[in-house]
Amino acid sequence: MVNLTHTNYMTDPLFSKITAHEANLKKNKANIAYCNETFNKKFGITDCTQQTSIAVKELPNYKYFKTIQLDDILYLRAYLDTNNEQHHIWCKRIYRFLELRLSDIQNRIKRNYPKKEDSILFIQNVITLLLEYYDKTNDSRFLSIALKLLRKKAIAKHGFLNANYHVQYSYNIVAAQQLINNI
Amino acid sequence: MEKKVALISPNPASLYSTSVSELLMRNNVKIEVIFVKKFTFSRFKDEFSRDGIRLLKKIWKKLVLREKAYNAFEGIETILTFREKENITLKNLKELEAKGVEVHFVDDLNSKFVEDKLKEKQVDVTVFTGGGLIRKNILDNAGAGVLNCHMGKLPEYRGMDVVEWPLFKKDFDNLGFTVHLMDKGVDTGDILKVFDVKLIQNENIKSLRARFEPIMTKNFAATILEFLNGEIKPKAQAKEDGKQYYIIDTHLHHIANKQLVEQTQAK
Repeated sequence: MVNLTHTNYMTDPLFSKITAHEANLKKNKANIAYCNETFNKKFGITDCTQQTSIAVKELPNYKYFKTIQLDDILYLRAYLDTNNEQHHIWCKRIYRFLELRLSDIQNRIKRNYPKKEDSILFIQNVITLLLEYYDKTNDSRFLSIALKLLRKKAIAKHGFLNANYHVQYSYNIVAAQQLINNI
Repeated sequence: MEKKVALISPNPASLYSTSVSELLMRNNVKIEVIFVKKFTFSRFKDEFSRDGIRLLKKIWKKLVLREKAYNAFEGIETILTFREKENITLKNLKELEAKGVEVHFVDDLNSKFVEDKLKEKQVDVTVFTGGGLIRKNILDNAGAGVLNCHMGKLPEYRGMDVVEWPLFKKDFDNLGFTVHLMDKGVDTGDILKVFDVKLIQNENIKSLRARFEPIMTKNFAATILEFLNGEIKPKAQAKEDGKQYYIIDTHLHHIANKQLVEQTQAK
């Protein structure tokens, strides 16, 4: 028979500083690009009191990942409707691109935003979208890619704790842990 | 009438490739030609960018540890105990050169050389035992097609880590494998046969994967024979019937393993 003592239940280094991320989020919640109220209420991550609204717009047809801007991601996060074919196609194609280009993602997102801070803020919001999509659809492939992206140090964070991209990273870590706890 | 096949392999000493080859030859199937993908730096680079650290573990297991990798499994049938039981002695595909089989080590399985060889050999079918993506020029010249044994149940589970994904989703009844014809998509080709693998007591992912290997080998060879004898009609799968999966995140992998352990402890 198989020796079960070899089965390790790991402590994930991704969540080793969860308390620091929670504190950062609490202190700098105003720096979150967009706060999804339903998602936050469900998991008690943070409150959305200083919410900025996202204007309704026509989502264009999906072309290439390199043409996506933060505005498109924020729009999807704000108005994500999993029964909407257009939204569904966007999320599916973003997911597929990220899986196929995961090893080179830091260079790929430079095409969306050449400045490092902007590119990190962009990809961290993409990760939030993936987590929110997983929450709505229970399609665990989206949780998996979000976690894999969060593990990539080059697109995680750098610089000041209160910088918007760093707060978004903290937000994603806390959200991912909440989603995992609810499996 | 004797049937002729071509074989594609990722490594000449692969236990899976050599076992399938020997089982086919015992059943009056002639292996006309074998294409082995060379292990080069560019192959390593490509596979490393896709699989990361897992590739190193795979190389360690398949090329360094080889048979020793199975020492951890007691009381279950592995590819090694299966080979012993079936008296499979072929250790390296190169040994078949002595029996008149052409064995070619190639950089690219989709090269003009492979395409021309397949055109020349006019085989009944091509058997895929690993090595990467197969392109249209090869699919079109592979006889009735390229047969693959996919380690997941199709059409539901396409792509990678399809042992882990159903475990993560607690979809324990959807563990199995599928013999299918390859096409230009990922695991979207016509299905020949789907097999269930039932869980046994005290399993973890490593032992479950080890248990898959002999069951897949035996049934892949048997299904190839049935197909060559015209006993199976391939069935098309609809794209929307399944999802394509990629490498599962390490945390989800551990959850999948934990769920498997709990599920089989309770049995």
